[in-house]
Amino acid sequence: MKVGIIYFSKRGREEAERICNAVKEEGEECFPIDAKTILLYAGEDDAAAFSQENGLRSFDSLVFLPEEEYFEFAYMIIKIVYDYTVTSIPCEKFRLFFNRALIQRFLASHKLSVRKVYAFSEATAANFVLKELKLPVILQFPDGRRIPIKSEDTFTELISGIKRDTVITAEKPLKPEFLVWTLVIGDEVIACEKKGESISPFNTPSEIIEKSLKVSSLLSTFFCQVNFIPYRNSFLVNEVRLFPDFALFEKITGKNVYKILASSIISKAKERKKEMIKRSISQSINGIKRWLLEIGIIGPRREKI
Amino acid sequence: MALLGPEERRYSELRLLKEAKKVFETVTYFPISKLVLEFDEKEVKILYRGKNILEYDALLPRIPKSYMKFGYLLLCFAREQKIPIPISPESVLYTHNKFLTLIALAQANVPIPKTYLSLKRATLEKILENIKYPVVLKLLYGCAGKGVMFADSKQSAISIMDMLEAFKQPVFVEEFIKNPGEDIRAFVIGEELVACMKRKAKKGERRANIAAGGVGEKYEAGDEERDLALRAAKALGMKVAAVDILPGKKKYVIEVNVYPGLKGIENATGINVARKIVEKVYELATSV
Repeated sequence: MKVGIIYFSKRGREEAERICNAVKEEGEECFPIDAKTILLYAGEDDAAAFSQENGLRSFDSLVFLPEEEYFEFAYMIIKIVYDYTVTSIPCEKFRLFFNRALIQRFLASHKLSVRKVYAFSEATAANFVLKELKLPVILQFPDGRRIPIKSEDTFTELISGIKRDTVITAEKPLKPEFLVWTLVIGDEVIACEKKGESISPFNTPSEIIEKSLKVSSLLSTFFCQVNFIPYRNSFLVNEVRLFPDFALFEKITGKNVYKILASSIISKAKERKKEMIKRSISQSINGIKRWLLEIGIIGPRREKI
Repeated sequence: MALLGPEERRYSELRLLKEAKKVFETVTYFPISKLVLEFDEKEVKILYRGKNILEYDALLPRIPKSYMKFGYLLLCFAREQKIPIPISPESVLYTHNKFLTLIALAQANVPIPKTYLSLKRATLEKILENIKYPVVLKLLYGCAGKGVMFADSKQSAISIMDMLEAFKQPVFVEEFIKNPGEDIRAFVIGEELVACMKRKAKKGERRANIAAGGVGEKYEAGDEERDLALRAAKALGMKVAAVDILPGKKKYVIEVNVYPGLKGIENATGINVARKIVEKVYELATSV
């Protein structure tokens, strides 16, 4: 099996190298791939993606460590390779991450509770949101920044400086005593608790395990980080990250995250590859059936003859 | 019918409004900039001054490049609520990112010029060495002919790309298809090519876009052009699309527009394109 780990930043490179080493220890081939070395091609005959002249479709599995700024580029790669290579997230699920409101609504529609959220992209619309929510509010920007707003002046000042088409979400703020971050890898859920600046291992209640696994399964990802906020005797999904802080989880919990990750990547890739082969065989059989039907070898036309 | 568009209503929006009023009982124009999304576990709303536009029977979006992300979000929410829309939300993302358009077209076997994209110019070095000059350099998010440049040598291509890289403007390289500064704009509605014009670049200009000074004249599309336009629109999930085709012995689709202007095509062909768009939206709304 040949695995590629695509990264977009310095932190991405470090994590990609650690994951690769762990995959190699499992006896499989693995290569870190710098996104900046990737060349995309589209032409009459098809689309393709290469890194240093190696076709990315030749990999059995491609794992993405995507970062906000490069989401569209990552999406283009996934779109090109998706029918040929097992990717760590499918094309249509990755699109949800283009927008925080989109992923929140997706989770909400699957009964993963969210509070009332507003999304807007212009100062003129922001005033309506402020009227509805009333101060204080918390604004979240596409880069993940969350800014609590207590005064109308700060709100106006902040909103007037936003670039057009920046989708901002607004909610009522919560003041949780602690936050819970989970790292989901396959069926494994590893959790940390963040209280103020200190982060420690967390004895995970079943609700968090179930919700974490549900998020990962709905998104069909190899892995993800789910951030929870405690709210009214329950936990709300606040954020989902496709590039978790693996090193932090390993450091805090002492679990061998990269080993777990490596065996999960290999087993998921094998499992999905089998599904892909099955799907492609059944598509070919259907194609042949349609062709036989068309030329009258099988079906009603044959009976007529 | 709810018509979503930019704050400033121009020719196309005004024409669509005028024609829509003849077909629909109620037609309202909503500036995208003033819309707010509201949702929780139970419901989704797209609000304009407190009014939920998802209560309309149909939605006709005119989403300019400057509202691509928010527009995509709006259409995703409208689709979730099963409101008839003549374009898929993805087509907004795809057509504003020109390379994504080309990937979708290539995957649907629609002929396009050979095109290359990378995050870093250095990765394109080998391509720039071997490609035939001149080449076309295009901004990933350009529109109306803006952001299309021509380089006659590797050196000038590198200079342009380095400058754009410094401004963090992604650019891609496209093979140059020899052409006398003409292209064909084919307007697809549903399964039909309803209007077609040939656009000719003004003297000294290679781009034929009307916005770049090009002139349009009525054009009778052949079977191949018709087939290409329909396949291109279908590949992007669009029931209303303006497809740009490079004419010649071998024909290529170079662009698909989700936010096409109507003035040029209506003036050149005398066809009431706005009416046909509105009728398509009505058909979608009544067939639900």
